[in-house]
Amino acid sequence: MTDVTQQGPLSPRGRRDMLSGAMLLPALALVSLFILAPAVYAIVGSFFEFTITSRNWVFVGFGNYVRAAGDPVFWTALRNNAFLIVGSAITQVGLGTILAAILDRGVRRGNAIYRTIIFMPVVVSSIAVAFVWILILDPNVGPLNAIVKSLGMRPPKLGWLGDPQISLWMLLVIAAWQNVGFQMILVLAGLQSIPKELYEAAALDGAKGLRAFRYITLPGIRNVLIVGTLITVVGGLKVFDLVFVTTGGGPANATQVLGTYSYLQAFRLGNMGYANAMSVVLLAIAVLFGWLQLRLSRKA
Amino acid sequence: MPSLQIDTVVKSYDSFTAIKGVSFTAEPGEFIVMVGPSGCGKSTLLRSIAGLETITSGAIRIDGRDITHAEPSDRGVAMVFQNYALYPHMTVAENMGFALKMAGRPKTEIAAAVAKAAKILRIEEHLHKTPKQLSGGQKQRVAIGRAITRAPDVFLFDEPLSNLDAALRSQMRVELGRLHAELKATMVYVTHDQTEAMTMATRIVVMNAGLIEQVGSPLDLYNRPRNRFVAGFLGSPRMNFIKGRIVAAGGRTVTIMAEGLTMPIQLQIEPDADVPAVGDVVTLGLRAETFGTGAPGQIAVPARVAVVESLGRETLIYADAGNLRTFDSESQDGYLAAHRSSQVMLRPGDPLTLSIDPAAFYLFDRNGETLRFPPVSS
Repeated sequence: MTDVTQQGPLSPRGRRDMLSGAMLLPALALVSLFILAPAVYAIVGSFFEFTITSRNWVFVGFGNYVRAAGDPVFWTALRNNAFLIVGSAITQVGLGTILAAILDRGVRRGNAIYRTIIFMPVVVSSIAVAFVWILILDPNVGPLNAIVKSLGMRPPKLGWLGDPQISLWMLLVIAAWQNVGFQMILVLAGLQSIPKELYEAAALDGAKGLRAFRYITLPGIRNVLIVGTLITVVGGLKVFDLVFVTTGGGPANATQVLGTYSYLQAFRLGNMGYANAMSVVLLAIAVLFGWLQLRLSRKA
Repeated sequence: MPSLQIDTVVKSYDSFTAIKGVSFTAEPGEFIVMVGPSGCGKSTLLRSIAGLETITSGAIRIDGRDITHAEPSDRGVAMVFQNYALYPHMTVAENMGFALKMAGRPKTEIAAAVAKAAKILRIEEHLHKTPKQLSGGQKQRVAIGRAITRAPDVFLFDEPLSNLDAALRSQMRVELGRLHAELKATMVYVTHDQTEAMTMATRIVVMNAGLIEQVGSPLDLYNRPRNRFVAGFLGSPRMNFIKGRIVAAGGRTVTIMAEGLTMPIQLQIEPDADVPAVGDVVTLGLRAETFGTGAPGQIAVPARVAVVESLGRETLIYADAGNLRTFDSESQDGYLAAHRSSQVMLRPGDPLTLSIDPAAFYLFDRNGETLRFPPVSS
């Protein structure tokens, strides 16, 4: 009997499984080629010392990780990443939520126009955004300096992006400008999925305004906020292009992040192994946040 | 048990007026059911009572206290919504106790009120569950429980049973009746389902196009509808309406001829109605259950069975009686609806004789106002 089933044509279920597998294959191949393989390569490479052109890989064990632990620039970069993560979570998710709430409740006319305008920077490439802001913040011809001067104040002497005290804050502003629209759309979708009747029931129960926000809105968009925060966190971790184009990590590493520092080590200084080790640290942190998000949203 | 007074309430949205000056009073402990077709303004009126809509003019009072401009939570009303409107992230107990929590009541008091309401509604075992773990009927019970916990002056129900299946709906009708008897509270209930209206109401308010057509007890409205709208709205199947013309009038008696009827009908006009003139177009109304069995004095109308609806112990027959057609009914194709309180072995196409007792006719004037009610049979 067993022979018959093995030699005969596939059962409908077997055929379905085969078909499902075949359809997954292209995606699996692409993920393997462009995500899994480089990740494995980076992890393996982090235990070696090599340059991009060298044939000889020298095994150093955890040497690269030890080196990172003792490298003050690594810690500066990590701290800057953390600053951008926390800052972005507050500005992007916070501001996105406020904008979404205003568009959901307060704005009656031109809702779609406002939404489009706020969302527009999301679809613009980070490089273009960076160049636009370089122009805006330019100490000689930038409109920001002109505005600040016209208000009777003094713009920073070293420029908005040249002053180590200000430059990271400016990156935070640029990132917020670029991404707040995305968070707004995300929260807006969440807000609009809350039935109107819930607010009416809450009004009858004595919860209006802030209390309705606390007891109805916030729990209603909890998962959306978790996802939004995670996206911001991951964005803050892997930020590269914006920093690379605007400040290149300077001045004096004031805006150095792990992305730009890894690039510097890998392609300018030829320390591929060390750069890999930093990337692996970044990956580990991202995986941790991903796991946290999964746990939180499952709990909800 | 406070009373609820609706005083010349008008509600307009820009150019559209949803409620056009409506007044009625729900006496203490009354179960008022507002019925009417979609868009008649019944839900808008209920929401205005709840404070979810701001009325354009008029006043709403509870026991003489003007609540027209009061916040929804300060009106002393609780509302049960059609889609339950339970807070999805809260447990049943938290849902039911939310209003008291917002009012800053102590936890022990909230727990006691929730437990009491849960006992009345027999949902004690569900208190720790969230709404998504409940069935439709259980959700509606929780929604009612949320209202009970608040111990409001007036309960408001906005089509609360329309999302339930037929069996559950009839069970909940009985439960709501029991609840009303137990709480002895003043309740206002909106529905488009006339069965709910007829079975639960102390008094029914029939609304149409933003106005009240008639207020009265269910049987009063059924037996003595003020106009053709109320006559047609209450009763299932719908009353048969037949076009007629006054051919003779003497004193308060008029003679009517209708196409398809072989003999003229003589009817006495009600004392408070105007007697129509000869030549006036009128409407004869006939309830489906009044078709007789062929007794002497009844008009025999030959017909053919068009549709048979067997409901078990009773049967609805839609009969094609040639020129004797009902108008004012889009779904009946002009067929006369007849009700038999027994099982009838008929099939479409079978011949049938409809016996009409002339005394069973309602008569409406050209404006739809009732000119004559048939005597109520016991």
